[in-house]
Amino acid sequence: MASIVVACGSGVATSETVVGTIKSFLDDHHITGVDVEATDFKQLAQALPKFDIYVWIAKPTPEIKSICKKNGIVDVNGVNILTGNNDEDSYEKILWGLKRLH
Amino acid sequence: MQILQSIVQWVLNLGSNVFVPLIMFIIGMIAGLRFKKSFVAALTLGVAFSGMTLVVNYMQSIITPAGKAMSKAMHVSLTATDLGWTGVAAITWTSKVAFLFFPLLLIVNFIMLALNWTKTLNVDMWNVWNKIFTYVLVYYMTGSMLAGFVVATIQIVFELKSGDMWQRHIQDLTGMPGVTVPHFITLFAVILNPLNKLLDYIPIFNKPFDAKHIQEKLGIWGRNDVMGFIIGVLLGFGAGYGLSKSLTLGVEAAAAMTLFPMISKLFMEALNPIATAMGNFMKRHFKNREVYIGVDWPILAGRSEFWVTLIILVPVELIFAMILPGNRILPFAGIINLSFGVAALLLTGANLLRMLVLGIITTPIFLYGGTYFAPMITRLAKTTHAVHVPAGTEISWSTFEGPDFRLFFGQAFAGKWWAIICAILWILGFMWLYRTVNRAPLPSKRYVQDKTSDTSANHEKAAVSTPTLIDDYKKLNLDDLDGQDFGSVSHQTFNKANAVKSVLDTDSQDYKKMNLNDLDGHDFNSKHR
Repeated sequence: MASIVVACGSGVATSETVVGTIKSFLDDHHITGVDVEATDFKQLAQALPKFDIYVWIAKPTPEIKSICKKNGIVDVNGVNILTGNNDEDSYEKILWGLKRLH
Repeated sequence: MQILQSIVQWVLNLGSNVFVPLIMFIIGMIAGLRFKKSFVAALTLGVAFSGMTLVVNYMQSIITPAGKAMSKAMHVSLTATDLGWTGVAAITWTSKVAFLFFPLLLIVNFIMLALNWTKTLNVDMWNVWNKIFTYVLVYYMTGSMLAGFVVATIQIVFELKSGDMWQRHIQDLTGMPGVTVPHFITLFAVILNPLNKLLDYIPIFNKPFDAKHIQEKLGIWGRNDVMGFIIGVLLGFGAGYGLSKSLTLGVEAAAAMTLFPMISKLFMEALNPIATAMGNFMKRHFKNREVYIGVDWPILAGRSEFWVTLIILVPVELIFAMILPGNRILPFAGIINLSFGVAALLLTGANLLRMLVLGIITTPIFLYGGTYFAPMITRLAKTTHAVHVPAGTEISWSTFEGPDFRLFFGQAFAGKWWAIICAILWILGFMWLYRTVNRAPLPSKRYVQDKTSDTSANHEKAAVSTPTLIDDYKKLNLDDLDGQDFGSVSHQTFNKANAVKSVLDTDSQDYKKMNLNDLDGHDFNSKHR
């Protein structure tokens, strides 16, 4: 199971919006077996290592960046998905991240 | 006619966990969503309501008796259970007029943009709930639905203006152009602004302060379950429960704190299709104009100063709750004071020391706000039967969002002269804030006095723009993976096979010894490549 995590303030509102948008994108492209989850920033550092792709809404801190690097987690700009500006770039990177898993 | 009337009456009398999803379903169909999507969204909303009822009732059943016992033992009167923003938002969505506020937000934003009164296009449809909540409170204060709509409209106008005001600061703090946060909670800066100006006169508050390392140390305390556990155990001791019973209460409180956000997510899941449709509608109509896209505040939450401040404020709130005369709230689910943090982060330009001092000074405002509005939140819950509130107790929100604005404008419309004066002062305060923020240097340039911090800020910027992995994803086509199944792909295979080769210099043997949990809580700053 490939896994994507999105993080926001309480892991409730914004991240869940982005989760929904990514899910419908994958749905539209008939890509299955990808688990998309939301979490909150306070718990992110502990949760992050088990995921393959990190979609961020606030720019990653050095701590988060090093976790991504250490685990080979692809980081993707989620603000673009939220605003709809240049969101294709973010989707491309998600797909690229997924492709490496195959 | 008779039949039609009784049908309407019958529909209106449906429970809120049937009525609101029904409205949601109808709106979904009107908005052009497929039947399946509308139906699932509506049902998810009903599930969210019922789930929230379960969790809130559970939380009440464990917190309320302990709160009562503690009140008796320590001669305080903490009878209002704190549901936090998630609980209050859930109850607010059960209000029968809730869905009228989507069009209200759209219309006000459209008019303001058309008249060039704002550059902000708010696509954050989730936070429609805080307009609904304002409406409900004002309706309870004035008895007039019209006054409720008027104050909600005033709120939307101020939010959009604040979106314009904050944009360049947000770009500086996040490194993202063209987005802003026209969120109600940022308006608390109207109250913070004069206090923050006083701090200008004290030299120590004009120095930069690094919060990153503190955040890494605070890591575990920020977990919902850990926080719930500690508060539960303390509450048990306060109630004179003894060790065994206190530990039980701690675990139960941890469960409540963990389950709460899980249920809240369902609301978002349910509202998502409609919110997205509305947001896209907005974007389509202003495609050719330069606008700031207004999104929810978490784009700011990457700053360490933010979380360090809010976690340090947790014990402060508990102490204030015990000692403030007249306070009735026992802080619990809402103890992370987001209602303060976002405004403070923006106003102070992420200065940790200022945020801490301002946070301590203003904590009583939130507790008293929550105490003042507790009867109204309780009344809303009872009206919509969202949760069961036992007699003699109340529900509320310890870090009540925007108590100043809601109290002043609500009571002003109820004709209270003191509130009219306060509302006028509030508007003047906003104008002062607007000028201050427009003139203030950007956060990254504000407190810089020595060269070292300057370079570290630049360094951080550079780090953000460098992607973690190679950028050859641009060659990819969005249809390339159509129809593929990732069900059998495992995270571990990936780690061993690809990551080492493509990303890291370290040899693969070393890497294989790694366990996923090995990284928990470690500091990797020094091992940066």
